[in-house]
Amino acid sequence: MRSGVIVILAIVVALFLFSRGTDGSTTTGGGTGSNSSTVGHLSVVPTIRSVTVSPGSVEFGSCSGGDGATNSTPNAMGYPNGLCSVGVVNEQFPITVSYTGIPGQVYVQSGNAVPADGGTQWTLCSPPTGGSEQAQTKCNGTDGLPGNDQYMIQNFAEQVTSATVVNNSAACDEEFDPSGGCSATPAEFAKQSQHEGLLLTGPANWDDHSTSWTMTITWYAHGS
Amino acid sequence: MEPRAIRMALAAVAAVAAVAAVAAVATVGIAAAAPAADASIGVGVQANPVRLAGVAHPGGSYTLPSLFVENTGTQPESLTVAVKRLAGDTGLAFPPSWVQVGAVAGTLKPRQQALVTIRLVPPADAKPGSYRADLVVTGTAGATVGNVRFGAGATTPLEFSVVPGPAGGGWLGLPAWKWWLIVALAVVAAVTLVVRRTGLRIRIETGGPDA
Repeated sequence: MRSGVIVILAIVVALFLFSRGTDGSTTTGGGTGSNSSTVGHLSVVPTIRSVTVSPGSVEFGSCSGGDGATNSTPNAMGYPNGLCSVGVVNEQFPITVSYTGIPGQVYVQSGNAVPADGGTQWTLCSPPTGGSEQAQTKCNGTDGLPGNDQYMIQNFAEQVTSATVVNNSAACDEEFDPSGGCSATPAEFAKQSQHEGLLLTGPANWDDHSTSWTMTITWYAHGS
Repeated sequence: MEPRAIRMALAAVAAVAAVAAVAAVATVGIAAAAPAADASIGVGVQANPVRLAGVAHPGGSYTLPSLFVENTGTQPESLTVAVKRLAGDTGLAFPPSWVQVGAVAGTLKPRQQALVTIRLVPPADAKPGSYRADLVVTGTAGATVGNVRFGAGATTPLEFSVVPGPAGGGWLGLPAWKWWLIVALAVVAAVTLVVRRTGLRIRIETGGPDA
């Protein structure tokens, strides 16, 4: 009886060791016995999507508009509703936006303009009619232009005839795809790029006395 | 060699040295300027949606698959992850408080990758249905040029379903396996009780074929 139990235990231990030895198809390193292994390297398609922004050396310039004593100078925006741009519409597009990975879309978003002294911000707005579908503040100035302490940003791009209003929530970058829309369909291991610029329409007037303002614009790689 | 010839030779050497120095400075200038011109910010995220395996119950707590993120720019970047509903999202909406997103540890170097933990905690009054939003990964450093701060980000869908019933998938808040254990113990107790009450005896004998 007792010897039978010992035999059974020995068989169980032997089976355990045997199963450990044959578990897995390849073992590399760590062993002290004779062990042969083959290491194979396999390239696979990317499983991520990403967006890369190369701003280049750009600043808002080419300013125009305003009225009388508050007219714009080339590098300082005047009021009411002065215009400044990064790049030049239909001519220069200094910002490069690149999408890489599995096909998707490129979204873009901006936000309030912040004065250097941290005072009253300019609210990003969009024209009262048409354009934006987002729940965003509507421009309440004359002829649908930004009112007091409001401003508007549009982006424009190479091979795209019209500029598009940028929203304060991420939405389709209509300038990214020259054939229309924001689709990004790069080839495998490749990227799809677009060269863009920005056009800013300033407030009718503003309360804060800062002479330097900062605004943020962000591009996103988005799944379809 | 005459003094004049020596002076001319020295002047030639000096001229060559000067040209070489100017060339060296120009090269350094180009090399120094090149990275700035090529500098970029970038963010990558896994393309596959983050999905809960199985279903969620109101009041439960569930670990979702970790989110893969990458700094695809040329400069160090800190990444944050937020839950947002973007234009075009289908399915039921839910507040960001239902999802607890871990932090991306430290600053990521160019091409560095990281995994972000995600936990789903639907409240006890969560309505049944299929929910969807986006996990939005954004670089916090960005790149400021002039008065414009440029940013990059990437999104991937977050999907899960909520079905009625208590969290844990069992009755009275207990998981199914605990109920099976309780039932088994109850059966053993009942058999024991019956055997004792009736005086039933079960005799087990062992032996070979000759017994």
